Amino acid sequence: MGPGAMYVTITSADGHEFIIKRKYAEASETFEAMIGGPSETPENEPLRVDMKRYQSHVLQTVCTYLIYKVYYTNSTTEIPLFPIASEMSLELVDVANYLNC
Amino acid sequence: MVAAQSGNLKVVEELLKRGANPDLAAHDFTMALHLAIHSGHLSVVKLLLKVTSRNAVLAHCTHPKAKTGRSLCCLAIDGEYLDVLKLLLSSDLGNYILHLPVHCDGSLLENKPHLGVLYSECSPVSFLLLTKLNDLKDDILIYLEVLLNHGFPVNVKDKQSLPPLVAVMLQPGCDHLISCCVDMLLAHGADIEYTTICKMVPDPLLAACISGNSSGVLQLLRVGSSGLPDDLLRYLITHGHLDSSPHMINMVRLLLELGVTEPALYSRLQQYFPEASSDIQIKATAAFLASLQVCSLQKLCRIAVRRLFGHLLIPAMEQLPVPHCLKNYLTYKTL
Repeated sequence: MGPGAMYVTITSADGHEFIIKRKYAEASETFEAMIGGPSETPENEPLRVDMKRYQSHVLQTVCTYLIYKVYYTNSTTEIPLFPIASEMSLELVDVANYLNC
Repeated sequence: MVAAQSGNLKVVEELLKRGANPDLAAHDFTMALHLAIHSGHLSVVKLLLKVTSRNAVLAHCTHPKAKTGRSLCCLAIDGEYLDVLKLLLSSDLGNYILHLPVHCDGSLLENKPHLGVLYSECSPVSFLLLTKLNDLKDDILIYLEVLLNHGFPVNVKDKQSLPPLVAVMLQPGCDHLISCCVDMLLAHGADIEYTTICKMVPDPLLAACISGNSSGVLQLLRVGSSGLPDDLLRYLITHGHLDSSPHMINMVRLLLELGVTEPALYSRLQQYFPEASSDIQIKATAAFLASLQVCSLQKLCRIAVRRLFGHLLIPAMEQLPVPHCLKNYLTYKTL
């Protein structure tokens, strides 16, 4: 809870909430700036990030990517290809540019 | 013929007056006209064009064993005689003779043996771009404009002909000049998607990549060429084009910058950039490589979008409701 929370809640345009570990969220420079800055989050509230410009199916892929990125960066194991559904690619490139990840 | 080569107009006139036959050719099918063109004697060319029969020119130029003499235009280009070239174009030889290609032998594609096997014919436009870029410098644009405005084709019909867009991509360096030539060719309708060598990548893009012509690759991608960095890199790796020349190192860096999504390709590159190498540039690239190993989501998506639209990307960009900065990103205007 509060600024030192372990988890971050991401809210989408269609009302879904994604709760991911803070270290995964911080793989995006934009998320990192949003949750690391002078936060107004009260001590007993969860850390929230407003992504209401984007739909949940896009944000779900973003969350999966962030975990993929943290897991495989500097990894010595073989890295699998991260799949992108072509019909989602245009929406996804928009959010990826915004999140800078 | 000797008089024609040395440009002695008086002697040529005198010989013709005394019955010398301008339609005769030497054993290599070279006529007096050929020699006068190649040595750039405008007045002699003018005279010989009047007296030489078109049928004789046609017969000798198209003889299966004729080599250098096949294309009169290429002779004028080879000698760098713009006035002779213009004279030929304004003559009544007709487009069939003027547009005749030359054979691409080893000497034309000496640095590109793998392409010499693929293309065996070279049109005057391709000949100009292939052989004269370094010699003519900015003047090449004048030659190119003259040829294109006369209606020389910018595309090829046969698989064995070297397309002009491929010819211009084969030489790294002269970035600005290449870019101007490409713009001119595209304005005349050159096909950037012409594909014969590798089914995933259009020939011009592949040629630029193999030659280490980074700015050419970027220019073609920006105007909508459908090749993807993964496919280019895979071609370079599997066909053994990776060497430690600065051009090729820059090419690999560019491809990585554009986004290589297939993780298996990185491990191939790690063998290419040996960590123990004493070359600073190679070491820098190896470090650069490590940080890029997990492709960013932006680049993954950009490639997915480009794969989705293929060569229709540029027209699609006009229609799509996406912000301007995103369009620039997708068309590689911003990397």
